Amino acid sequence: MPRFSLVLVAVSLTLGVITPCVGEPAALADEGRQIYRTAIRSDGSSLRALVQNDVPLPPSAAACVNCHRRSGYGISEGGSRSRNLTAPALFEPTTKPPIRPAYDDQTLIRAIVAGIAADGSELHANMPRYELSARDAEALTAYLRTLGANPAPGVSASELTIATVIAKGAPAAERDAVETVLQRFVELKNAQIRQESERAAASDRQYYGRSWQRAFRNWSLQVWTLTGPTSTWREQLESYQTARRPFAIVSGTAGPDWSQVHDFCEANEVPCLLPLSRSPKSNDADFYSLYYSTGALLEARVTANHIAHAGIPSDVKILVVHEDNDASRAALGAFQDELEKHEFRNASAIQVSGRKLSSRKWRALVRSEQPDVLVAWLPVSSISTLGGRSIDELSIPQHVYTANAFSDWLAADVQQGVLSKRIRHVYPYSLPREGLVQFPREQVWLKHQGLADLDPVSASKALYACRVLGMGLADIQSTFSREYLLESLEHALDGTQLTSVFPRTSLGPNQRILSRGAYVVGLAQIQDGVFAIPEWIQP
Amino acid sequence: MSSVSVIALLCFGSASASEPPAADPHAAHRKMMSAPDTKIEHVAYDVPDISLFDSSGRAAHLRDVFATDRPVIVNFIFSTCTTICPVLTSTTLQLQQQLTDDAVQPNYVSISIDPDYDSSDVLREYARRYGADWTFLTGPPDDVMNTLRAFDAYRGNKVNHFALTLMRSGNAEQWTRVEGLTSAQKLARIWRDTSL
Repeated sequence: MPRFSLVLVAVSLTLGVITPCVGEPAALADEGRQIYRTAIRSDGSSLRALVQNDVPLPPSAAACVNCHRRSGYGISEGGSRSRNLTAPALFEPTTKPPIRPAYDDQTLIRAIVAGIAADGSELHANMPRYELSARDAEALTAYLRTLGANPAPGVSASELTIATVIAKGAPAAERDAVETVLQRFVELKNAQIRQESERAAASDRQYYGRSWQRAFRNWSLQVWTLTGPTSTWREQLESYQTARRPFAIVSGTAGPDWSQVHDFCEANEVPCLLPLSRSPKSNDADFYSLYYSTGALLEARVTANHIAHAGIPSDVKILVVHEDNDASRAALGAFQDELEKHEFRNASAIQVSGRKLSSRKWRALVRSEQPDVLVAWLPVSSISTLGGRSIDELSIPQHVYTANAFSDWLAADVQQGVLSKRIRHVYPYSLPREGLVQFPREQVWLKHQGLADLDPVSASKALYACRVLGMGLADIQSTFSREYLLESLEHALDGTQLTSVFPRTSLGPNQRILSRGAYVVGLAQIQDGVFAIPEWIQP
Repeated sequence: MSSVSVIALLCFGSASASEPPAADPHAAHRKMMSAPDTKIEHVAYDVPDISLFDSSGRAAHLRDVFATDRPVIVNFIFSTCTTICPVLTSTTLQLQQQLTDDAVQPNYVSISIDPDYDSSDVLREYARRYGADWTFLTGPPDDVMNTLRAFDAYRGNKVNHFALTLMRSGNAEQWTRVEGLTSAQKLARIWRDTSL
């Protein structure tokens, strides 16, 4: 078994450089946190590590966070089981096998450097052996003494507080759906919890009963309403939080700009589960916010991808007509980047005002621009006039694309005719079908609760978010850690199709977007029953 | 614990206690969890008639990638896996180094088990991060899942994935299937045994 410079560490121990400390300074713990999460020291140098006896690991792979996770609770994946490193676990003796004494500062460093556990046994070959300076050891120990040491906010002995965020300027149908569904869900949840607590108390299988009993909490729902300009939202969120901290934020809607809420959640380390937000500041790189999709950005990429594989020459003239808002501009950027990958470089854009685009304006636009491909990111009312009588059928471009983020064709009365034959609509949800409920798993609950009048997409998304929280809490039971909740969901939400809103979902470690594809549907197919499955694109 | 005894432990190691196990109601489960680290078998696989895509976005017909006369070493990873995939990839790099001077060089192939997230671009970045110069494959989800099934690598959700390395020397009828993580040295030994 390879050993790093144990002499260095051993000498340090002898000289008392590493001493058991009470109340290490915060700066040392911060350094330790950086080492734990990145395997990189504050001077920018990286830790050296060997795994499986002879395999060197790059810092991205060597960081403790990879296997022991941000929460410190560890993971069981790929046949590799990494232990709970939170302070209460590490610095206490275990009570269940494998029995070992508590770690102390010395035995902890010995484990990391030499791979020897607190009971003297050898740690598994999957645990790397690290080269640690005395300073590294001090910092890491300081951090580990804080990891998971404090109880999570928003959880008392009897209650779990959750919040939802609803901006007054968000579409009414979404606000209604979120508020109504969340309130009903929480009401039902609390009614069930009382029942289950009594059952557990009476249960013969005492171990089972006790672990559920300990985990049960009444849910308390806080509705955080945001008013005024988005620049004031951060302050409003902070003030809601000061009044009452939630364990997690569930669902919510802020219209097209969720970024203030996203930033708040990252800064305050609050899980933010599946808002309705149509064009979120979403990415996989941040930790606390989980999204359904990247909304308009995804649809833009799918559009570009479809164009690139449509068998048309790459020098065709592509024109995007869009409104004056951030969502459209962001989508345009994603669209052009994706086109660029496939060497389509002749794309331009025209911004139009919010008012309905008349047939006359379309005619002028099409005549002057003469696009081969038209991408219309406009409300349905504006696009419909493209099929108006004053436009020569031959002048409507052969290829017309619309996107669900901007045009809700399902809510519209679409006339037959050449327009609906030409339009390819990018649609991210499970397809509506003649005579069938579109989102069975969710709509059966909504109907049963007398909430069938709510907008089905919004209500189904709000419901699924609640179910996701419930599922996550059932997994983590009494381990009320916000990070552990998210880590648990990374596994729980993968593969198994638990929502009918999207035809395909997946998740994984360090992933935060549930759905990554969309259909490209001939517009006529959305109105009639669908018999052929349209193309599904995951760019 | 005194500093002196700590140094002694560090420098000279320690014997792990071997006592008869106390009555443990979870013994069977823990035995299953701590099964031997590597399992080696010899299996024949039918390479399916599927085309995936490599990290440059080029089509990769599996029956060409795994043509009978090509010596290959294959593993299964996904780019956001933080537990065993970094180890698997790093071990493969180390293995590649160990085999540099061998007369027969294997063709290394890594297949993504997460086609939803792992586009060609993402795999290219993963390969760059490790300095891995071999073939990385992804594709439409159904094609990838059928590929995994063909090699008995499919376990449903990603959470169930496991360390799997398949080796086949040129014109061999059977593949050597190595389940579990192990050192690069041991993998080199297994590879050289297959080429005999």
